[in-house]
Amino acid sequence: MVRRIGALLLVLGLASEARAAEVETSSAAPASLSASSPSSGWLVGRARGSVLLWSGTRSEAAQLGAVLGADAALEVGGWCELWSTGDARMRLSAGARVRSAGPALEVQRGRAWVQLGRGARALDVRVGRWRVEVLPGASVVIERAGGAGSTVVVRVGEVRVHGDAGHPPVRAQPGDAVRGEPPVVRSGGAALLDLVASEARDAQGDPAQLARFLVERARTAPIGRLGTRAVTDILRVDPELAGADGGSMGLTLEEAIRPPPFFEREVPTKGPNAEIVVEFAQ
Amino acid sequence: MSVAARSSCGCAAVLLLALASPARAEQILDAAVLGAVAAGVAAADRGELDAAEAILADAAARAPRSALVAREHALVLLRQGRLDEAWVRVDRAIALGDADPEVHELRALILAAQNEVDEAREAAARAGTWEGDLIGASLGDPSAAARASPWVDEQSPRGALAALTLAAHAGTNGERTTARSLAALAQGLARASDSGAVLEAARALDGRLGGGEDGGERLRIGGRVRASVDHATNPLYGAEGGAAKPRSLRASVLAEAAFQAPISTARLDAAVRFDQRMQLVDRERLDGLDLSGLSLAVSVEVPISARANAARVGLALRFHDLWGDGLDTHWATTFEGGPTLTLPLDVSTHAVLGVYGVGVDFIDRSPPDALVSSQNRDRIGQRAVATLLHDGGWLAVRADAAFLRDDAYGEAFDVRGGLLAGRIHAAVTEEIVLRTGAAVLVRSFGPVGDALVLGSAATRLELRVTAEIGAEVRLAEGYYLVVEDTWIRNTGRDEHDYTHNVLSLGLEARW
Repeated sequence: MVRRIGALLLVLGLASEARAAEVETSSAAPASLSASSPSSGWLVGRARGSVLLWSGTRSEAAQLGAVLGADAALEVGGWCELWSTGDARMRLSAGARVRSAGPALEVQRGRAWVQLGRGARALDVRVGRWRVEVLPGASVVIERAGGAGSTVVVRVGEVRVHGDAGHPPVRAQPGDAVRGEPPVVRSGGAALLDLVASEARDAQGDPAQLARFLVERARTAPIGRLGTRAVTDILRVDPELAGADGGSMGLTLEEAIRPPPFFEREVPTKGPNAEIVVEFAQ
Repeated sequence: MSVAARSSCGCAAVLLLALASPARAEQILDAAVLGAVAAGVAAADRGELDAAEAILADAAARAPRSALVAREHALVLLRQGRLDEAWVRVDRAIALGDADPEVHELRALILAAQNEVDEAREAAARAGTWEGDLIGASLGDPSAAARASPWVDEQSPRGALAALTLAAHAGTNGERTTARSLAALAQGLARASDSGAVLEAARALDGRLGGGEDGGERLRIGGRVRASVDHATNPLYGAEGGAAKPRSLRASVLAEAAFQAPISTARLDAAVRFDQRMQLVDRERLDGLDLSGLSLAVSVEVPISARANAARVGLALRFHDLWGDGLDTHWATTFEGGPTLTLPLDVSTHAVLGVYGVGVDFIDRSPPDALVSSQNRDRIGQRAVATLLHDGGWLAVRADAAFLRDDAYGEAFDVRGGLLAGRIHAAVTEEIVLRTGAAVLVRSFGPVGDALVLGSAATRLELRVTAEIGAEVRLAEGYYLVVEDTWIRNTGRDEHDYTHNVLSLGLEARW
């Protein structure tokens, strides 16, 4: 079944080449850099601010739909989202630079947020001396900061981080952050995940309109009725804690008439209960 | 072989290559489709939603296995308000393997727009992000609101949005004081982060919380009236042994009114209750037991911060007066009160700590205060109480522990003691509620006389055990059938033990 669909897609793909040329695009892929070199399979899907496409020593502004060549690099001044033919998504934060290195990508600096669907093929991403194997179904942030080294934080799914030869790869899952040389798994990274998600939402202009949804819900939220408290709810002391026949009334009566713990005859005599009146003779 | 046959074989070879090529089979998209998607997204950014949708629909048809395309298509359909189609596309994206929490947030927003609240809450919870928590809180999910609480401390647009969302959540739940605190906080955070829309919404919400036509009530008054017939086995609390104890059959009436008034961030509660009992049989032996009781209670409670799960500090006071046979016998007057601290532990559990003073003056049928007597039961006491309450919706469980100390006028009634109690409240159906509970109270009375001389005989240890069981059946809106049984057993020495059981069957009206 998969092979039949693949064959059908091949036929459709061949037929769609002509149709693609007819689709109106806001900007055409630059002919000089991307089309002249073999493709890495990555394309610029969204871009905000300055995004430069480098090939060797030549650079030019990357337009929407620009394809990342096999030996090309992308340098992001604002924010950028790349899409791959393998159905993967990579978001690059300001200051990031990635280079296509054969079948893999290399994060040379900055933050890259990679999302792979479960049907996609595993993706290798190089960062520093590591090879990060992003498994299908994973969403992971990879950061290369000059002084701080490399960091990998997993949002969903699993990655394997291969350090230097001789060290076994480390596996990281949601809630894990990989840092250090050799790479070691620790907990954490939540702040970095929040940061990239917020950057992406702001850069895309909140396409799902989350803020608008929340504000509207708050504006129209019904105000619930106040709740009252009974006498036995306002204060819970002896009758409520120890139980009684009818609350305060019952416990008060019980305490008033119950057999005393000591009868009068069992208690040393009290008194004298005498009243002394003093009169001074004149 | 003819040209046509060779051409056919060539085409077949190409097709066979396609079938055999694993690389081709794993390429879900091609550059042309990706380019089209980029064009569609750009059109959507410009506000050209119809054009964007057409491009993305075409791309989705050309790349039916692409989760990326399905998600982008769903986004545009949501913005167009085509919710059913958006839902189909986002579910398609998930089925095709889109695993990032963003797709679950998107699904939650689509379902919320369709008013599928329960499914939307599930999708928001599945996202596991702060965005998902705020979506869930806005849909009334208490767990999501608890998870989102820490964000109100953040001086940022996210903090302002979180405070606004949690304010609306608290307001919907009737937690007016918490809601007003959060609304005020949202306004401050929105001003600081220049979030105009949030500021406007927070002001509007604060106005509604303060009452008015579109807002909540400024004062709520509730009440109940209950009439019951009770059978008591030992209404005089006579000690075991000796003559047969008179039983009582009595009619009881209870009337209670309560009100709550939120005053800024403080909650003011007050309640008044009147009880009346009339013995139906054996009235001569049960002289003085036609009881009339009046209780007044008032409390004020304030959250210590603006967080949704902030602790609350309160002060509560109660007065109770008990009379018998009309106003012929004044049994006792009681004052109780003290500070409380309520600590939320999680969304459904909280702890309450209280330190109370208790003063009871037994008036008639008690030795006069001018007479020095060990039998004078008037007392001043202290209570230190810790309560753990878990309210899981239909099931609520309460555990209490308390320390007691009484200093009575008569040394026989000086007490040091401790208490443990547990109660369960279960709404097994919408119409039926079951209650049960038990309490164990250990008290050491005395010492009487000189403890150094009398030794252990100077004190008496008593164990009081109570067991309760009850059921409440809703007969109609606001009308209930109530059945309760309370069993009390006080164990001390011979001639000091007593057991009492009361079974009550009544009807109650509430509003």
